[in-house]
Amino acid sequence: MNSVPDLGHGVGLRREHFGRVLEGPTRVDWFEVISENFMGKGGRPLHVLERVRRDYPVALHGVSLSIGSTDPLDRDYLDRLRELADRVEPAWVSDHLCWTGVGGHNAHDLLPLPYTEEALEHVVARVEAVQEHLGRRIALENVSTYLHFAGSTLPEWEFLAEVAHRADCGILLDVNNVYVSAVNHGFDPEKYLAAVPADRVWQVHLAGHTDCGSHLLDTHSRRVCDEVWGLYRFATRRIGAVASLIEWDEEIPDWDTLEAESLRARAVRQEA
Amino acid sequence: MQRFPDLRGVQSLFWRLVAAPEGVAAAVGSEDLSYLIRPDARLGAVERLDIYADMYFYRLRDCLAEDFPKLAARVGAAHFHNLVTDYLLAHPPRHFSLRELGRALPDFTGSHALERSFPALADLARLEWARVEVFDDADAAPLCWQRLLEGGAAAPESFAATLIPSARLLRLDASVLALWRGDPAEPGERIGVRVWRKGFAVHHRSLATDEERCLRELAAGGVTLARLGELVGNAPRLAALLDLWARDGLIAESEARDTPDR
Repeated sequence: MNSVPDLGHGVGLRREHFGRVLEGPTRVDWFEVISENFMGKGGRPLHVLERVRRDYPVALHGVSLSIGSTDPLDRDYLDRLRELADRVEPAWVSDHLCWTGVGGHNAHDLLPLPYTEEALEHVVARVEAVQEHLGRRIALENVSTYLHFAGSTLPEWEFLAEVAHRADCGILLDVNNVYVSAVNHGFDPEKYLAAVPADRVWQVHLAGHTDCGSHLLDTHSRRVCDEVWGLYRFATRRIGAVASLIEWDEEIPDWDTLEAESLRARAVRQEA
Repeated sequence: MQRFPDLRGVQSLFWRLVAAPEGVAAAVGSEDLSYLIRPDARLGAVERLDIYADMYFYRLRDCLAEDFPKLAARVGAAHFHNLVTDYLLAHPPRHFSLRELGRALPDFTGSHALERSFPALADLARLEWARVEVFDDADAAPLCWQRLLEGGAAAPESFAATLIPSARLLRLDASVLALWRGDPAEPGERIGVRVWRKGFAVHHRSLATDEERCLRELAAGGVTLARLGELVGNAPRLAALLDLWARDGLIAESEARDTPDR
């Protein structure tokens, strides 16, 4: 059984919809925000976040934790994240099972890890350090990948499950990312979903991707495709009722279109 | 075949290849990467690394284009692409926030060959960067006209003000204000410009000499109305400036500071 609440069906809060969301009401249950976008000292972003938080549950979703990097953890970043979490009181804090830079550089991209015992031990130790620093458990999201390291000794789903088990953290299961990686690497996405420990899944992400011919790219630029809805149905039957969230970050549509995707997630879960 | 590196080795090599300005293929050369990345029938190792290299560059370029839209428009897409390429080589991103990516771009632009073709380009970038900075700078309660009147009348020697945190004072080529609007302009004299946020809206405007003198003192904090009177030397003019600053939400009340240098 999950230790976090089922928040229902939400969407990622983006600047383009600030006005519409504040105007209210909406038919979504909750919002997820990109943590780094709200680490400024003031101005409209924090004002909007505080207003939204008054009326909805909010989760913080980061992109810069770089949990898999071999660089030291960025203490300044963690301090800012803790400060933001204290201010917002989010339902949970999440980031990605990846690395974003090395040698002091930051690619601002979600880079793939080799699935090795060395990487596993490294990530687990850092998750524990982060949870200690933040004073809360975190959830990690599986990312879309475009290459497979020759030295990997574990399938991704085993690596993810083992990190969550050993570090006692949650899983943010991105169903679109499972599908994108499955197509890119030729594995069965249902096998992946069947191996994820249901009691560790705090949240599900749903998003659209772009077919580049030779590979799928996780662009968050369109509606969720039928295959991903099918996988969401499959995942829901396994893991039960956990919060779902629609991510849409490029070619951002009007509010009604985005909201409709969230309502579809609700309907799919009810069917399942 | 080479052995698969440890995690540090994997990440260092990966970074070197995807951030290589000459492109992944040139950086890899004739090296066989099959010890590192498993190829398949659809894509080889270089093509797979290229996906990451493209995402790296284009995400950062798009971020800079969003923060410096006037600069990007002034030089055009091809020049901007090359400027960003050179900039990322000199200043690869190190901060956790993309917001910080463009911090060094104005000065870098000033030393770039494009500055010769597009005069005042660096100053245009300085104006845009100041607008980025004040957008989410700390909030402050601005002084209203009523409070200025009350406080100033009651204690002009001790009633003090400061510039709000979400304001910047710049020295720029006068042509920049026209260039920012997209109008043609020739380089001119250097002028004072203030950039500030009122509510959630970011503004900028040029400064008269006496206004700039006052605001530079106010930026150091704790300037009494009496001191502002000395700086302006003209009571009606000071009243006009205070009225303007109050309407713009530009100053906040503060403790008076010691001024041994006066």
